[in-house]
Amino acid sequence: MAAAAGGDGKLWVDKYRARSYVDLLSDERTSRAVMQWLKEWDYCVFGRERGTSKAKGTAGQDRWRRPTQRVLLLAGPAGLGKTTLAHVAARQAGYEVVEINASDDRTSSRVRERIAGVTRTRAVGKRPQLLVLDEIDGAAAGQGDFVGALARAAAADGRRGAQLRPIICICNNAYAPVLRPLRHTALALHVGAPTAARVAQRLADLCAAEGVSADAWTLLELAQQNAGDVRASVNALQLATHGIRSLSAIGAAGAKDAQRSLRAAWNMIFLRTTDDRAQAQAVVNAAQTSGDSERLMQGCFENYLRSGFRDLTHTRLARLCGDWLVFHDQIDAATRRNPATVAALANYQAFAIVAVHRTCSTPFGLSRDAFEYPQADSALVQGRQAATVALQALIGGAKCVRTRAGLTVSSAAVELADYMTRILAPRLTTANRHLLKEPESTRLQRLVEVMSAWGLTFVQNRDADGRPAYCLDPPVDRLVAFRDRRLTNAPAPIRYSVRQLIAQELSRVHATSTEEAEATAAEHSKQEYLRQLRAGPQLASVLPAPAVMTDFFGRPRAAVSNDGKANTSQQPSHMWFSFVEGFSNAVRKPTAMRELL
Amino acid sequence: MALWVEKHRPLTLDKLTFHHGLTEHLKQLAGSGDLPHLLVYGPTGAGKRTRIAAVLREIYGPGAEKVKVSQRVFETPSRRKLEINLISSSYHIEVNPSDAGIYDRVIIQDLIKEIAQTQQVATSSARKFKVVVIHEADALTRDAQHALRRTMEKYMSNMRVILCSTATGKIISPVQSRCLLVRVAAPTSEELVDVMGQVAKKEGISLPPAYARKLADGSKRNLHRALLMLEAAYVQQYPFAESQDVVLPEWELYIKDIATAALNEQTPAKLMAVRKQLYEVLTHCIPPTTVLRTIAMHLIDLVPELLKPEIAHQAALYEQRLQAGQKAIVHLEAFIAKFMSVYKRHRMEVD
Repeated sequence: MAAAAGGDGKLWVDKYRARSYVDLLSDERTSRAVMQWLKEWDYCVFGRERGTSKAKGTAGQDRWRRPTQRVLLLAGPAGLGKTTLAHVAARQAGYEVVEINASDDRTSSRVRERIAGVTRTRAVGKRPQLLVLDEIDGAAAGQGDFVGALARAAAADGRRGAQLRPIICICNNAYAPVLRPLRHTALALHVGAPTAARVAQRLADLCAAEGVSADAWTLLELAQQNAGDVRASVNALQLATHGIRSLSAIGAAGAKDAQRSLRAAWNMIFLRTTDDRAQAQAVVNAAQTSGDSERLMQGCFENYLRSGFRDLTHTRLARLCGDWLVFHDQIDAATRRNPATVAALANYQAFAIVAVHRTCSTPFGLSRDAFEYPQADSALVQGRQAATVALQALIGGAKCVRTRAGLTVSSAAVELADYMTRILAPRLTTANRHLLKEPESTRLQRLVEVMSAWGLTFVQNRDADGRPAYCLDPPVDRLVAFRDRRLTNAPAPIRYSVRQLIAQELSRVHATSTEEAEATAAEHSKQEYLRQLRAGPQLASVLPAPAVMTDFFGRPRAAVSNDGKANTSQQPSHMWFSFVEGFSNAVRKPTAMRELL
Repeated sequence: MALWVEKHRPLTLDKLTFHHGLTEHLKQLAGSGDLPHLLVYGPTGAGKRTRIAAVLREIYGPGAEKVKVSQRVFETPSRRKLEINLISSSYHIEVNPSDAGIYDRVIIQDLIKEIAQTQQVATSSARKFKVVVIHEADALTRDAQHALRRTMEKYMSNMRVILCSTATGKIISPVQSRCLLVRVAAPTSEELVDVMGQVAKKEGISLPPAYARKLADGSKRNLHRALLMLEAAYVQQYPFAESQDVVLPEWELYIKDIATAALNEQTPAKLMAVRKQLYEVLTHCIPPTTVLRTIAMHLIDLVPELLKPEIAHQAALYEQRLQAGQKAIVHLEAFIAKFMSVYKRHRMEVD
């Protein structure tokens, strides 16, 4: 970058970095929110109420009166000045910034040390420190559980391990999977792009300071090209004005490859110009530099039929779709199977794109409203996901293990779901269980049997119009319905009241079946017990004493034999007793067994 | 009890209703006290699983029916965790490795080795070996099949493998040669009518033979589907009428609509509309190969004699490409586009 540096050897990005709060380019509201969050720390860090009473909002719950969210997460695309914002705001609030970025060692143990060092100690005579963790989403999983360590540190509440200084994390994508542990503990703020006019204004100031004359229009163009990326704009400006003292209409230099390049590639593909060779070459270039060849092709695939090219016998179309698009997909599949072949095969994919261009391009190109951004593929993935979940729920709900074993998602979709919905929709005319007549009551009973065997229920819900409705759960019926097509031989829809009846019946059956299960279990254990009893006298020790007759007070009474004479108990008995001693208020006295028998 | 198709599933070899010759063979095998590795193949709804379960019961007695579902976590070499449902009794274990996608090799290696290396401890069991049932074996990747092949030989003393698949084509020949191949053919219409009659009798309903034949034809020789159809028809209208429609699954009708649409009009706009419908079918989790086959079969029914070989050829070609490819929709649309082209040229020649 030495070549790009100005006369004093400094990058303008650093030279003109915002130094104070008022210089910040980022959205006013975001800056304010950052500042406010920092102010909430004032009591904890500086030991006094500083600033206005606004800061009192969430602070002050815990012992140190720290804000509830102890980590601030700044998220936003690159080059918007997130790092600058963090630094400026921190300095403004009276902190000294300690930064850990991707260039530092970020293993979890190191980070814990650093966090402990910064947030729990205080250097004498210096400003309190504030930790800025830059590029936090770049923390790869390989670096240990860095984010997890941070989240644990933030959540720690003990007297010793508590985090007593603010931590600001900076990332590009707040939803990156590595940040998951932080998501609940951190206050996430999204930094939006400043408007192009604002960036252009700053660029103009910068030009004035550097003594470069530049017209406002060019600067605005530059800012727009970079889609709000301040850093890229400033860099581009510095590069373009290197050595010259005036700037007008800088060319494509410095244009950041933004999302628009894909769109431009599509436009190029569907446009036929007089110089066909040159255009084809341009298409190849666009295809190779677009960076997302899959998305590019998907866009072609979803739009090639919309361009009104003439094809009487359909031959060209068949050749295009049948050979070239399939060819592209095959290469795609091959590269997915073996990622090592990407470099070797990627160049061939451009041929398919050129084929689309040769077949489908028209002198008018694709009109703006005819073009559709490719979404069908992701819609398919989402729809499939939903259907798969429902089918898995259906399969998983089956009570019979063997049935469950025999079903996969696709076999359930092909074979089961359709007939299932039909079986679940018998004709029931009345919603009153007591008025059900013979064929219908059997129908209801069968329906309930099937539904409980498959773990299906009707859950009360609201339909699209907000009316209450009973919906099948899992929603098997929705798996069967196709868009813009009425179900052939559709069973009559079940009325709300009937569904309610079925739902009630189901819960009743469920309740009784649990009761029955308990009863069977009890019956089973009783049987078991009796069996053991019969098995032999030595097992009779489990018998609590049911064979002993008791008198009114529960005292065992001597058994009276048929001839009215008490048994003499001197002979060895075949019975064993075991008395389970519980709590009792009765008077106790020792009694010999023979007195009882 | 649940659906008729579950309720009336025969549990023992004696109760199987068709393929009596096969049943005899299986009985002899199971009775001999030893079992080779088996590769059971045949179309869906022919009774492969039922036969496997019956064989297991014949070998181990009723204990083989006491199955439970458990979840096991496997770790791939790339440290990804896979959760797989296993169905096991104390004598056998059933696994469907296609749940794991391309990581099925890990499952084959870990699980089967683990089972193979432990011996049957319970002295009460008559057999020394355990059985591993692998469902959808044709979905196994090459790697997994190769992993299987050494295991099958090495641990022959205490483990047998039963593979269950729809066709043998995708099972590598070394594995095939280690197995006894058992073909379970789809039941004929007569057999289907017979089975449906028995189920109807057990349920106490009367099923006119003519209607049973109609159902059997509609089921495409798939017993599972035939019984579901019977039950659905019973719920819809009973007593059965001869004229009562046989209800085909909704997705099948929808796909047939797509085919008819392609036959009626061959323009880019129509192709566009067809694509939307194809997306809709795929969203419903219908496997792409099934979609392609259904369309092709329906088209072959409708086009003039002259074009039939060409359509069949194209269908076969695109099905092959579809399986090698990545995005099913491209291949399905390509087939339709090809068909439109062939058919339109034919019509122009005729005119």
